[in-house]
Amino acid sequence: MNETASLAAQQVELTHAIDSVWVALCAALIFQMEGGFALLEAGFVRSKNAVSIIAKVMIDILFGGIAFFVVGFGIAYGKSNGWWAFDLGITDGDLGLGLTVSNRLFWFIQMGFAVAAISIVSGGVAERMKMWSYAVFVTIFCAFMYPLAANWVWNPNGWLALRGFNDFAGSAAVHAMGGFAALAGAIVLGPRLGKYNEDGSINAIPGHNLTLSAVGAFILWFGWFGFNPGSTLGAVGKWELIGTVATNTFLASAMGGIATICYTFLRYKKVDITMVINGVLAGLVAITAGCNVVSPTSALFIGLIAGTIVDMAVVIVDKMKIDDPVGAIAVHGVNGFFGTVAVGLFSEKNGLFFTGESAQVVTQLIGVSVISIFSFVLTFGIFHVLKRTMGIRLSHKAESAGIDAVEFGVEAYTTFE
Amino acid sequence: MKKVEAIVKPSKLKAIQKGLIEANIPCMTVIPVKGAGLQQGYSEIYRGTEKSMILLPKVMIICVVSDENLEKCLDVILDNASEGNVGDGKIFVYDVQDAIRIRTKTRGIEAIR
Repeated sequence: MNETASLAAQQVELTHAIDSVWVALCAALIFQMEGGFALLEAGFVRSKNAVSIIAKVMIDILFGGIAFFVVGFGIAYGKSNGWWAFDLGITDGDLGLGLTVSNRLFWFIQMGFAVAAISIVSGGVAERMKMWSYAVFVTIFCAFMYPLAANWVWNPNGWLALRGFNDFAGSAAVHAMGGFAALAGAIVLGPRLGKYNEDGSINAIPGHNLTLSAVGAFILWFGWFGFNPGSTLGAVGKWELIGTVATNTFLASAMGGIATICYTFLRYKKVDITMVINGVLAGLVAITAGCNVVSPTSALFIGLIAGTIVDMAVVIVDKMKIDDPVGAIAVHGVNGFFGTVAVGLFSEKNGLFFTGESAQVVTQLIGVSVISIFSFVLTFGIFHVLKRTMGIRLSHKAESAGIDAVEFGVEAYTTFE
Repeated sequence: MKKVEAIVKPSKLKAIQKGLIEANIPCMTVIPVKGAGLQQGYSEIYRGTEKSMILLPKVMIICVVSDENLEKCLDVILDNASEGNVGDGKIFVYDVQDAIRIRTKTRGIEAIR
């Protein structure tokens, strides 16, 4: 009898250990996606602003990570009344999620999500925003805004979780949240100097180093295999799910890239690799919500659609006089929205295309709409308050001479040395 | 003394350098430049937006040569830089007032020998 008990205890211990190894590994993969964001965005901006991008992503991690520790986690995963919770630091005790890893490790992987969400914004406001007002926004976003969305979606008592909203790794809670915040930020900030002419025509402002951008995209791509498969939050008893998630993640991203290669070639006679990068990321963003419930074939279609709408969204955003230097709105906002809705269409369990029932797609639509509007409206308000108080936009002098030289006193690429 | 400024396709640089070394006039300074001729640059599409008046990358080769070496130098550049196409480049020739070799402070024609 005693032997059985000790065997059972050993098994529990092993489950904790194996799951912890898996989650810690994936959390580290998610964390290094910040390097991907930094390189991707740095390559997409002009060389005179490369340092400012590195600073922004640093601020995402530093201010965002600490903010998510101090109150963010408690708001997201404390005892929720459906809409919010409150607790300081890392909540102790059972979170009601059936975790087999420690709350602290769970905090670490969730911190990666929070920081990824805010890093989306850093691209949308690139090349023109003041550093300190950005730091204030990062802190508010990671302390209050993102945790509220996470509370609704992933807290066991969250109102969306209770409705059966399926957002596996955060197409809505992370990507739509970040993407629509980037949209609001870009609108309040206004376009970069020289992006639009007086007659309304658009000037392309090419990035300075597409090799850097591509490396960033590959790092993000790689990290996504922590982001999605890591969201199983364990490996024991979930090994099949990990396989499904990883496969779907790849298939959607590859089809997203193929869609963009074909779209840009047919539309512009040349393959635009900056758009292909966006296409791959769009596929990844779109599959993030449903990678646990769709079939590999559906993942192909989700990627295909994502890769096509991202091309159109980039051009539409440009035409609306909203300047998004890296395509954050098109990739994360638009496809976060689409990917969340796609769960309700393609899910094998309750998707419209497979069962003919529309209940799930309605739930998905409600959830992602509320999150997108919440993110947009709050960011819009905060940016306006910051504009009136600290100011958000750099001086014309700093913007035309380059943020790096004027604000940071150092340039990414020094000459004559 | 003459200064020869040749703006050529970057791919022609190695052949010109080799030719000048063989002609025993190996001194040169090269600057990567961008420019347009009568074609006014070209256009490309970046993220769905047309970008026009893009300047093409070229290299500018600067040689200061003695009057008797001038034609030889020009021949080498012309032979190696020409494809007979638009965009082959241009050569400009200027008079040079003086030359100084910094190491020895030698002046005039001796400085470039």
